[in-house]
Amino acid sequence: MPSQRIDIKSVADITIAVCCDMKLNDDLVIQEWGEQLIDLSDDAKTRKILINFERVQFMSSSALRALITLNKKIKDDGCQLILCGIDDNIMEAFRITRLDTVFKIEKKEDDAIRSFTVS
Amino acid sequence: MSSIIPSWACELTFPSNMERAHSLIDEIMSELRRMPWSDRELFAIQLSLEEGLINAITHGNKGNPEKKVRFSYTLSDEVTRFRIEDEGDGFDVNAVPDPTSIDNIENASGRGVLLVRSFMTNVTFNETGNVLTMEKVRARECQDVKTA
Repeated sequence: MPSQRIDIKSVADITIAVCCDMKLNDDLVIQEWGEQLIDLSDDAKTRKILINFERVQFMSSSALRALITLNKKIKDDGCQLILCGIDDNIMEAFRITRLDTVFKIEKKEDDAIRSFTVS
Repeated sequence: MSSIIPSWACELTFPSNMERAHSLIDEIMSELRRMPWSDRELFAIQLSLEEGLINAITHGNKGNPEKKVRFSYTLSDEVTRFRIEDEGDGFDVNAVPDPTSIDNIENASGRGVLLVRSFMTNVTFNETGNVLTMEKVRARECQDVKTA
């Protein structure tokens, strides 16, 4: 039985996935985390997904890879994805890899909620 | 590479196993947290160790537990230095596609080497590509902040 890697909540038509783990570097953790996010995006009602990283203090390039896979799927499905609550050190890894240009990223959850496009 | 008097040094060989690698990283980080490294520098070292060891175990040794990783390091207040050697065929580090180019930015792999090179002060690979040596020098401004 996989562990719960995301807490899910909703605000209006936005589904918010709050990452539960402080570290996203272990293969099993990343696999379960990625699968749970993919499952969330498979829900036909979920058109706007916000991933909140406020509890995450460390993530490896393997977690970035899982995030890229998810982003491609969400784009293909015509849905929206926004990331928020990313620690400054992790944000530096996004900047170095230029993934800050691939993902829409907001500092705070409230700002992220406001920045979804109305559909 | 600069010369240092290490306050902590170790050399060991272990089977290709990320669990073992993570426990080693935890031990090293716990030792470094006793020293005056900034949070930002600690993150840089932890991420580089993670990427270097993943590369050796997963890509170099292809996860084969029969193949070993030789790992050595020295830790001090001013400089940390790591050497990671795998038993794989190596790779041409100069042939790794730039993961930040428009063509590659959404590709799944290729970011580990870039992150290590960006986060560490000095990074070298041997000609074969199966030995990574990396060094982090503590930033002067961080030392000033800590002693201010």
